[in-house]
Amino acid sequence: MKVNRLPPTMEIRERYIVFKIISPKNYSLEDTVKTIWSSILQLFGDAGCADFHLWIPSNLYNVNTNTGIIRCSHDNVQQVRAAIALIRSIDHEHLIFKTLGVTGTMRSAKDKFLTEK
Amino acid sequence: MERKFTDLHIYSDLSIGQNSVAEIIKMAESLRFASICIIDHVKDKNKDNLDNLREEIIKHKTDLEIYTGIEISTEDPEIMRTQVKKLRDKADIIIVSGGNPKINRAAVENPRVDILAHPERGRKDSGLDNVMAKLATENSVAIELNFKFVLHSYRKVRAHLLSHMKRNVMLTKKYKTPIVITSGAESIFDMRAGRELASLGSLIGIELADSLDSISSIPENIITHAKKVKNKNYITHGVEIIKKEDI
Repeated sequence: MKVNRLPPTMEIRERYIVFKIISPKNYSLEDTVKTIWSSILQLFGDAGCADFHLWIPSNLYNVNTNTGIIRCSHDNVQQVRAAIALIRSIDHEHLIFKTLGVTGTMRSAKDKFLTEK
Repeated sequence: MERKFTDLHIYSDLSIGQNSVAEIIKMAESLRFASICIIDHVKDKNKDNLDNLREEIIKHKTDLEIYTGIEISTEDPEIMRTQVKKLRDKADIIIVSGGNPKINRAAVENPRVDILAHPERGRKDSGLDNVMAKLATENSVAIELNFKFVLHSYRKVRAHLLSHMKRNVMLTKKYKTPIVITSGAESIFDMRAGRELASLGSLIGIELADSLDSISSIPENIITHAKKVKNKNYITHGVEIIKKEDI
């Protein structure tokens, strides 16, 4: 049996953070996801992270441009931004996680930041 | 209106940093800063390297506004005072490297100092008390929250550091002391965009709007105030010589 969707008033309001990794190298999805999760877990812990409603859609991560999307609840955008700003390296290679923007829907995130014009 | 972000604390390879001025400018442009301040580090009575830094900056053509500053790092308040007096006219901003309670106190008592950097560095307490916060407000010395130490620490050390920063933020809120958030970058990979620095501020208890101010309007005010202090007609806070023709 399928679980019903929450009534609209109870639904969690979401935001989509579009990020870019500034580095001469390209990083795979697995490495990126692992690093983001470990940074957020390190800073806020398991219980704090539970409220964030985190998800990193794998189909929207682009290995060539090092860009992707993080979904989180709209109350916790600043916390997630702070956590990804604290990432220093992947595999001992220094890099910068830069936020390109924050949007309310996944479509606008794709249109504004991920499609090449 | 879009905010113009400023990072007031970046080291180049002419002081204790790792990257050249050209690399810093390139990274600052890609992180969309409107202005940056490249800092020369002076320990105790050592000589400054500002002239070389200025020459290096002039070589590069960019839309960025680039300021030069001096960080004075010493354990003796007397040396700090003489260095501030000596270097005030040379540099755009004067930063005093905090950590020692005597230095913290001497810095906030000195109206010629612009920023007291990381008062909580290497301490078991926050390095600031209510008296110092009050003095900082009176003398318009800004308190710095340095991102570098948060970035380079882990677990227990980071937790203590964040709690000390939270205490300082609480004090500065109470006494309305200006706060600046800086990256303190020694390498270009320590630099972060303005919004990311603001989110660090909101992590330690500053409202987001105030946090954004502390990397945009407050640094701007510091630089304009420093220009005023450097003016020969400036005597002290609120006292200035004005020519008859100007009235």
